[in-house]
Amino acid sequence: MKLDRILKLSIIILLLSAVLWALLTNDRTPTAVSDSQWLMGTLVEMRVFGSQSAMRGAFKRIEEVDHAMSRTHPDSYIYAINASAGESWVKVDQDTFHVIQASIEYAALTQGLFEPSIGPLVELWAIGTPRASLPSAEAVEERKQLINYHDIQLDVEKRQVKLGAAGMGIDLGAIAKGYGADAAAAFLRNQGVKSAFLNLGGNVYVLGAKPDGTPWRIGIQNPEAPRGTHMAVLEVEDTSIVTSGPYERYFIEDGIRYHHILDPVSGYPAESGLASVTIVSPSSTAADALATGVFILGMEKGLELLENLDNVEGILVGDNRLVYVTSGLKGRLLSLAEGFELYE
Amino acid sequence: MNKYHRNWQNRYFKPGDLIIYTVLIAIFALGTAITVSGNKTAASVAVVTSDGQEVHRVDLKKVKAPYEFTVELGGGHYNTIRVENGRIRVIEASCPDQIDVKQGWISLPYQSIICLPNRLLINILPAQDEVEEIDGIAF
Repeated sequence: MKLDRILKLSIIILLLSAVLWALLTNDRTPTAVSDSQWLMGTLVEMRVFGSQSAMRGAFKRIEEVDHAMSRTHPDSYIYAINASAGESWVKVDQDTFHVIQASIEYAALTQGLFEPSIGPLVELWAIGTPRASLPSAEAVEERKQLINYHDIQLDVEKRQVKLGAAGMGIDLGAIAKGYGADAAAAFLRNQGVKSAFLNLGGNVYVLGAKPDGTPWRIGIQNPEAPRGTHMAVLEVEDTSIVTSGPYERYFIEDGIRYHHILDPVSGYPAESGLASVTIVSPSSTAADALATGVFILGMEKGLELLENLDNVEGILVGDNRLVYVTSGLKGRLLSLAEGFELYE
Repeated sequence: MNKYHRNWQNRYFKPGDLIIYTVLIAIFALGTAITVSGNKTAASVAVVTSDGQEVHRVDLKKVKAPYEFTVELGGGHYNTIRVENGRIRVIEASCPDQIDVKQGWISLPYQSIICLPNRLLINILPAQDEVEEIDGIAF
């Protein structure tokens, strides 16, 4: 009966092999879908552990936010508000009303350095467009007079917005991407998605942990190296990480670099001694607005503000490569790149 | 030793069978190893996309002779890209700010060059045959 025994043995081995094979090659994590689209004037990337349709819906939400809040799109609410400045009220959708309300709050928190009514100045400098060039001092002074977030009037009952003076203009460029990330993440949560990675032109939002249960490892851009080179790593779940730095958009004229983070007080690109500001918060709207506001505020006032806010932490990198973190991030900054020194 | 035990031993563990066992398991293990490793992507792959469409993909480590090519978007918008062994860059572009050209060479996983006006993106993919150090980057 030797043949019979070999046959039985082979069957057992085959079964064993099948089981082991299944165990080793089986992908136990939910399938990932991913895509990238050009929205909100930047590249939006998503990696969603869930269905195609959930991801499509999330992109749709960002598209809606973009369409409602673009300063340059003639169909947007912001365009309509700016076109009616000093004249009439404009009825807006809930997204836009919410973001304008939030932007006024962050303006108050940052002593008006994050400024939603900075539109006229942004338009003058036109950084990131073919028209970008150094404006005359007179032009800068003239545009500065039009900036004052206290003159943004809100009618909560009728959900209407009006700008107090002609020539004023809202620009939500430093907060809308954050809101877009929050809106997309909320949509994914509603669809039952437990794990996702969103990147809106450098504004990162991670939903949940990774499918294997470990936290997401997110790199923080090295302000002195090519895009995609990180100076440190954070392990996070269910949070947003937004970095602001002069390296993102700029133009060079007569050997001088003019970057896109405009200081509404001076009227010129902010010079606060910072190389970059990273904000970590469950609210990407807060992270986006504060990254800009804190960058202009500078190291000392910026850290003071962040320490006084709940659910907001920050990493501030000085021009001197000294890295400061808020109390909630102490000991959490991993793999600090050579040349940077952590000040704790 | 009871009778059952002896039977079990007799039926399944003759020395000759053990050899068959070993050989079969070895073949199976080898097969699995090949299958699993075959799923991995080689390191240093650069991907160029224009307005969301992939237009070029190259393993930078396998580039022998440097070469250049131009990606056109229409309306006179273009980016000229140079590829050398281990690195890639934009050498000429129609966009006004020239940020992509000024950025110079990239060579490491996760580094990227973005030309917003021309919707051009160059990404270096992370190596999948080693543990990924990061999942993404905030910039």
